[in-house]
Amino acid sequence: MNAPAVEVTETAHRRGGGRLGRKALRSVPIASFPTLVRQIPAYQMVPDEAVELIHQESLAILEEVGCEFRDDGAIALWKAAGADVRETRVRIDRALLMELVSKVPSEFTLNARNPERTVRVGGKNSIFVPMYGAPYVRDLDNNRRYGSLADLNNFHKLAYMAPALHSSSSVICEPMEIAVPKRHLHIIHSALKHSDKPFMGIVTSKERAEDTMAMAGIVFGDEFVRDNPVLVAITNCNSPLVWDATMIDAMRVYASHNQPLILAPFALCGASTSASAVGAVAQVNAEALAGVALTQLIRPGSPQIYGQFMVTVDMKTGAPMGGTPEAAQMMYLMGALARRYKLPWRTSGFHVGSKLNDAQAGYEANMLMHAAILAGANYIWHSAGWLEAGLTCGYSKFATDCEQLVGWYKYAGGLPFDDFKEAMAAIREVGPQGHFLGTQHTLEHFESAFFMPSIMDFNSYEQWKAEGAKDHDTRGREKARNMLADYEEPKLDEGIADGLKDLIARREEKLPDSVS
Amino acid sequence: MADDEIILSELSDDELVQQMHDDLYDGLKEEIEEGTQILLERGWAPYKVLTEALVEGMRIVGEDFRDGILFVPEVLLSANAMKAGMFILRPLLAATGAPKQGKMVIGTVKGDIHDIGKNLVGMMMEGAGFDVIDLGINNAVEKYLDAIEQHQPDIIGMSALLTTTMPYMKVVIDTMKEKGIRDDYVVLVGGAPLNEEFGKAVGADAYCRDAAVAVETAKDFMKRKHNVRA
Repeated sequence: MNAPAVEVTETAHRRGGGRLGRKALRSVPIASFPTLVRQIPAYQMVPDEAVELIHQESLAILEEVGCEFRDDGAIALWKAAGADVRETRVRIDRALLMELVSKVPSEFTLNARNPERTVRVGGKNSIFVPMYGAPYVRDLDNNRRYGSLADLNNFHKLAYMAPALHSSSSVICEPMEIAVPKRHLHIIHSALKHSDKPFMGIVTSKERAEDTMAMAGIVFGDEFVRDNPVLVAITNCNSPLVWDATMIDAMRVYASHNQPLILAPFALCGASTSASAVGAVAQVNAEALAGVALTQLIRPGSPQIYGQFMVTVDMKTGAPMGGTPEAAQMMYLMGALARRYKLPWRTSGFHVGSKLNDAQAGYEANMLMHAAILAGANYIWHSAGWLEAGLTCGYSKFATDCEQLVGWYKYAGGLPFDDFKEAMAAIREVGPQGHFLGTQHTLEHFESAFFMPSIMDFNSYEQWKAEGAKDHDTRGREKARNMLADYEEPKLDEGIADGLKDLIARREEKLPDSVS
Repeated sequence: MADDEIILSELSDDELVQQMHDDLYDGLKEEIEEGTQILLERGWAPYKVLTEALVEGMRIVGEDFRDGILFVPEVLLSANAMKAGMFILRPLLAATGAPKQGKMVIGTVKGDIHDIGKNLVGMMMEGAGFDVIDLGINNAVEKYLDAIEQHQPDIIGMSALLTTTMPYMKVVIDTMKEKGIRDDYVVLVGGAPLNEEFGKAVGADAYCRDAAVAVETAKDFMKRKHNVRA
């Protein structure tokens, strides 16, 4: 060809097995990504003085207003520690509070049943965790209905297969057909059976937390789970300023086993906090620190995750919103505070109010994940599936989120300079005119240079139309369906599998079939 | 891979052709040259080498490109290997009077200097065994007419990226009509802002949305042409 086009550079000369070889190469399931080690700086949205001001106000709230701990055991611990206790109201002196908070390690290792999936949480280390707690699913046929155990199994399978998810969560959706007193057994079993990544504990009662620990003991060994983190459990402060007995029960079970808790006030900003972003942060910070401090009275030095779940309420209806600018701004403040306390911290990535995996969902999710990443969050929860303020887990949304996480993993991993020299050589090789598609550098790097999503469509209009003119929601459902068809269960030792089944059978005999 | 153990000259004809399909897929230029020579030495007609070893190999490449298994830089490598085989075969094909794959004159139209798409089409066409005469960028109608006269192509390809330059395609086609030569050639058009309707409106034979489609369309027209002559 007499064109100014470039000749293809001779590349590493190797037979690759032709079509079969390439297909095999490209169909190898991608192993999980290791812990995301953030290589971009955390962004602080306000000056240090502002962070300090909020910190001081939070301390003043705990000293002057105090916090409710509606649990006798917790009250006894606070009294023994020297806090000002009047009935269930505890006023905590700042010196005591900060001394307790300082006992929390700034990083910890979260063990998975497959050691290759073990991750690190805290400092520059971040993990992505799928959603939790949806009663409804938006299913593979796009119907909204109650979740089932089959759905939960599916979501655990998808979580296992998604390279950028570092955890299987636990109750991604509720298996609604199973009686509440027995449900937790099947939730934990599903997570342990269908995935080999870290998981999350049940917190809805003391005995359910204990059952979770017993199941973890079967998988990891009772000895091991006494001191080594293998799960994370969520405890919420009921904003404003109440830690209730159920949460404290769960806290005791897990903290005494050195299992990390997320101490996260559930704040509907404007309703359960003041209608001010910074005011809400000062309150939520006080609530979270009070919870963190209590864990250190239960087991000093136990790993914990300082947390927040802060959404603004829609003043037109009172409903919680999702990806709003204020939610993002509050994340930056919480991140700055967490760094001040040297605490691992949790936020939420892709939690949205949208009913469908649509444009609203995309905008909301992006608003929050961008902030979560730049704010330096360590435990980035609700990173797959979340729709409708958490009421629904969507298959399409789950698959989409997993794909987007691959992009965010890359984004937060920073800009590599290792091939910069070769890239500069390619410019000299090509010169003006021509193209870079045949250069040695391109041939070596094209597969990893740029994000290559499969649900997002960048084809020509005609190609897209020829493939059925499908919208993103439809393509996401197809992706989820295809992933599930390719799923292969990870190995689980037979003795462990039987042990889990035995325990479930034993517990089910004792547990009632209904809540009374 | 145990690839170094493969000695092409020791393979049977069938195995060698299979291996050449793999080598084309892997973009191995020297192996394709060697395989082409071996088949010729074994007395294969150049046209048989072309169709059974090279064109069939590139058909597989095209299929997997369409299905998203192969990426542009890889297809480029394959096309380059194909081109090397074609370089050996071309004079032999001409000498034996074998049916031609076809010849194409391609260029971006006057005012348009965006040529990545055009270059891709050119390389893919070569990969499919076509002779490609690339006029480069910014071509006035005279350039196309001169090339037609000089090279006697089967296909004229025009591309544009800008809405402001794409109407020039009509100028070229209208001029061909005035000269009474429009129907002697297949005219294919392409470029991001074009569509099928536009292609028809300017009087082209087809609009090709991407390089793979351009190759398929060109092959189609060549088949029809051969059928007419047969």
